[in-house]
Amino acid sequence: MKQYPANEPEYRLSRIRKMMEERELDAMVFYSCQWKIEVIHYVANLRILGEEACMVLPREGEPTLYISEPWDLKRAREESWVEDIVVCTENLMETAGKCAASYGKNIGIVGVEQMKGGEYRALLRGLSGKKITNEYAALDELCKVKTPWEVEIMRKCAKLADDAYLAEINALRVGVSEFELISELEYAMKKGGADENFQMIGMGTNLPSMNRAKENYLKMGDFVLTEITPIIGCITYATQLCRTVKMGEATPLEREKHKLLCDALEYALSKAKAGIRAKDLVIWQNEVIGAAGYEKYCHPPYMRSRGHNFGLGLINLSEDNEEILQEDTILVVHPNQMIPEVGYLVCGITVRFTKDGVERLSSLPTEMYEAIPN
Amino acid sequence: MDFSYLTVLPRGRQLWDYVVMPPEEYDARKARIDRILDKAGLDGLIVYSDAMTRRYINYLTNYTCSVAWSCAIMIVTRERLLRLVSSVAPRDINYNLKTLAPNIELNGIGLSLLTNYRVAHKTIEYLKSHNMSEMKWGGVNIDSLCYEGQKPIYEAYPDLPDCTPLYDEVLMQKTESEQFAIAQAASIAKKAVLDYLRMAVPGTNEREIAARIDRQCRVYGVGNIALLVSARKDGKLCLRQPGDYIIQEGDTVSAHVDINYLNYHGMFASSLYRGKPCSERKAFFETVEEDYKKLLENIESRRTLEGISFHNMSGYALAQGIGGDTTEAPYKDDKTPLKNGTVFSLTLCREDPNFGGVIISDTFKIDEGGVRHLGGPGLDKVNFYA
Repeated sequence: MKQYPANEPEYRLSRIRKMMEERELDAMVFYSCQWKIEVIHYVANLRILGEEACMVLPREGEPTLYISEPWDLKRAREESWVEDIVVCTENLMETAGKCAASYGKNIGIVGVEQMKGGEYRALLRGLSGKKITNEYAALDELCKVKTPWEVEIMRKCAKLADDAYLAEINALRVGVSEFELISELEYAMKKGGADENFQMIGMGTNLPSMNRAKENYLKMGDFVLTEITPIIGCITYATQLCRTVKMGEATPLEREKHKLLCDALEYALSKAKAGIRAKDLVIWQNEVIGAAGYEKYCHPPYMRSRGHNFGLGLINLSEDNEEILQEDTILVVHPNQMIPEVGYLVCGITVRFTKDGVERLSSLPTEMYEAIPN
Repeated sequence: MDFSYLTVLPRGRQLWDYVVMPPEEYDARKARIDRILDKAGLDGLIVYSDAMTRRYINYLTNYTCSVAWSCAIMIVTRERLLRLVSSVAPRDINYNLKTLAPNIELNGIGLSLLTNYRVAHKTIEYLKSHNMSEMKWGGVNIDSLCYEGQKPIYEAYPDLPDCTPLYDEVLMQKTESEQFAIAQAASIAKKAVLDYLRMAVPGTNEREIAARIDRQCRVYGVGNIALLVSARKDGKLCLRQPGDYIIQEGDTVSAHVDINYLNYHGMFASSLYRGKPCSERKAFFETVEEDYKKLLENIESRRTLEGISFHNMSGYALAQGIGGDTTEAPYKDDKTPLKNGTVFSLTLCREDPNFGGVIISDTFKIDEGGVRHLGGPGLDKVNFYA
């Protein structure tokens, strides 16, 4: 069923049309395939289940959405805000190209990177004689600032991550497998409204990193590292929670090292607000961890990233990223890394940038949880 | 984040905890692929895989990546060593060190949706730097590469023969180990659906049912689950992501599950009517089951999937190969004669304005005896009533 605020489609499409005007585009072609649905999800509010979909948006006039499967038409009509939905089982890309071409000379395309070579050539046939530009970067830039509805979705998503973590705590016992723990995390999130989850886990001591679940059973003294990433709609609206659990009482050294990561996170968040550079968050986290003697470990291969978001509007917190973080940008900040004495540890939270600071989307404490049996 | 072009060679394999197949299995598969080289008169194959076509590379390597949009190219020659060029996260290199088949050289490049096609550039560079450019190459699944990715390959080899049909022919005949893996996947899917569809009582919402099916599958170690649920009275079956709809008396609840277990897929779908039985509805359900059996008999007698799939006002049917991917050879309406060892999924959906929409989907194999269910015994009967 259609579940979005009445003004959301117009709000999004008008921002895109403004961008089209600035870039002198007569029409745009948006494309998603089954394994990367974000573009069509953003412009048409449709989570595609078939092979592919393509939307043509003229600068003036209504969009047309092409889908590849006839059995999916009913659902597409129920979920998408696009009125004109066409099933195209053959020559979808050429048909979409001809539609876009009918609106004018200058055509922008988003999603070329996902199109098979043959499909792109078919699109070019439909757009024969037109001036074509790749506008992925332009759409990506627009999506960095979330709409009020998007912010609400991500707040809900963050709550699901919290629920999953609490379910994990409840499921801990010696002998539980990684698969069993994951199944409880996923259950908590899926019944709460998550469409998907991207899950990383590490269980053991002196862990090198997290990865996908495997045949591994929890023992006393193990760490359990989880990176929980529920998704509502599409991955653009994912939020992430990173937490460390110690099975049993932690040693003073283990507590000290995890607290170091928490301190780094809190220091960075205390200074964060809209208007800072992405690299500032990296500098502040590294400052705290480096001051403790781990400067070498603040770089790959001992860590991957100090934070990021997902899907459209992608921002990566890296040392060379000068971009300014705007209000209503949402991303996870996580000083996850290797500490040589104890192994890889994690601690991360998703935040929304405001004029004056950050809104934490998780209500759970960042400290390491020590699961001490009664 | 762009990583350096690093090379990782697994130094011997001791642990086979995560891998279903023994090393001999991969040797046998490699021998089958080598026969393609003989048949086509080639020295090697350039094989591409992405999220929807993992089977081409997985078949010889058991390679996996945690990120859906990564892609890889495999260089296959008559040597036992296989070379992979993949956009891959460092954590996946560590994971693959434990799970890769033997004799694989994994060359990782940075992971990024927008620059994934660089695996193609790096592959051509690799061939040049290893004096392999002048060998006679064939391509497999190069059509799936994006436009920018195809360019360096077709610039280097403008007349690259397409060996995808020959490779598909090999993949179509599943080894016993593959059939075993698919049977495990199909059994897990089937058990989860049949167990938890029964719990779809009035007052439960779709999400709860889906979450339970999901949990049941994951406990076994299932990697990915694609799960659609629908619960409505109306005539048309509209499978969707499970939502907040509360199941009511008189609804038909359907669940369609495709799972990935140890790099192989299994599929199952069924429907359950939550209301008072009546003879007309029973007759409708029996017709659907009868139609499903007829489709299977048709496949068994003609040994082809040609003419099985359809879509019309009363529903649709879809028969296609399944294995390393959900959709593989034999494809929908493929005329190719089915050989022993072929595995396929058959889905039938029927829609009726009076009785609602119902669906059956299951996974089968062809052997000397004909068409057989893949999936545990005692689960063959589909019962549309609670």
